[in-house]
Amino acid sequence: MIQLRVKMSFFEKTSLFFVYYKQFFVDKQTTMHYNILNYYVKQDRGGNLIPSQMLKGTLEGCILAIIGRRETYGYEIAETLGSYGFGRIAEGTIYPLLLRLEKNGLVHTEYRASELGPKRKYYSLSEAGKKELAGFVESYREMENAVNRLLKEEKCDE
Amino acid sequence: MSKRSKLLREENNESEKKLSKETNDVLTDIVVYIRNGNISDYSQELVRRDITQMLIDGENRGLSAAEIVGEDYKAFCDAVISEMPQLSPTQRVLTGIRDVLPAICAGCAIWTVFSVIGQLIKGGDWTHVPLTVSELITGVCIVLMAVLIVVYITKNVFAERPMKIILSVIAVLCIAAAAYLLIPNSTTAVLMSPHIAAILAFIVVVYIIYRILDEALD
Repeated sequence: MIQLRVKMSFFEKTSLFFVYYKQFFVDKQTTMHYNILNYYVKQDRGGNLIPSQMLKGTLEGCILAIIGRRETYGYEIAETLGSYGFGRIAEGTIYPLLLRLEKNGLVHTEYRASELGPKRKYYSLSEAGKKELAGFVESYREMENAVNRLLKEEKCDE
Repeated sequence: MSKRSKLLREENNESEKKLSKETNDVLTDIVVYIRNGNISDYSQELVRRDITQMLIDGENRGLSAAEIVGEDYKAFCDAVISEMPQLSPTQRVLTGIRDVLPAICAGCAIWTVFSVIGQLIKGGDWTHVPLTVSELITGVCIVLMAVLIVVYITKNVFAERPMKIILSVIAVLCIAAAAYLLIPNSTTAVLMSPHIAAILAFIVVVYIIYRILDEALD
């Protein structure tokens, strides 16, 4: 399992606060449009300790991984992310990302009535999505190994 | 609007009825804001369907709109709009023209009716309707003002309640001022006196152009 929840020092938390402050207050006043990342950070600034820059490159891949397991829908994806330590995520937070995946042809979508009654949009991986996911896993493993090696050496130096 | 957009809109209108009043109010704001986005009518309805179903599903779990969508509705809408296929500059211009054409039709019809009544009261020739320069300028101003008010209100839909009230008052005042200006000024020179049949033909042609554009832009 990919472990993204990290223990942070006081200094790291303080730095993160300023990153959030800039994105939440400064960017809000100077830009008309928010990118999805800023939006994600704003929604979860209370409980999520994963820096936004780390999430930027991984969240889309993680959503692909969840969809790759079985056909699923927005709320279930948000809940699954939460259960893996991504913090509490509103369904609306990941919806724009799902739209992007759909626009890029990485997922197939289908509207079906759920057991509870309302229709739900179910997502499944397309062939292009499977390739994208394989590429993401490979890239992430490489990065993970590189970071682990680096941090291991750092630990030895200490 | 194409048939597929119309069908989807009807389906969305029906689905909305399943929501509570509070959530429906939030959805209305979201939809109004998205209507101002640079995306096609069909894309707007697709997104509306997704968000409506998301809200219905969330309400069944006992969640509020803020818990389902997130607290910053504007940021949510901006993120959604940016992920939908954007209109090209040509499509954008044609969409603007399409949106103005019904106002032109309505304006012409109202002006014709009032002018004919005026001519009948005066006992003049009601088959020819005189168009003064001031009436033409006022008509153009009304259409421009209507467009500006709609754009301004949709962009500020997430403003605080007092701001909404101020905007509504300004809108009403603008329309009242425009209506006052429309009263025919006898001292203004007559630009032309078209036959009533020509005016009706003009209205029909404008309406047909509107329908063609509405069908094509999807």
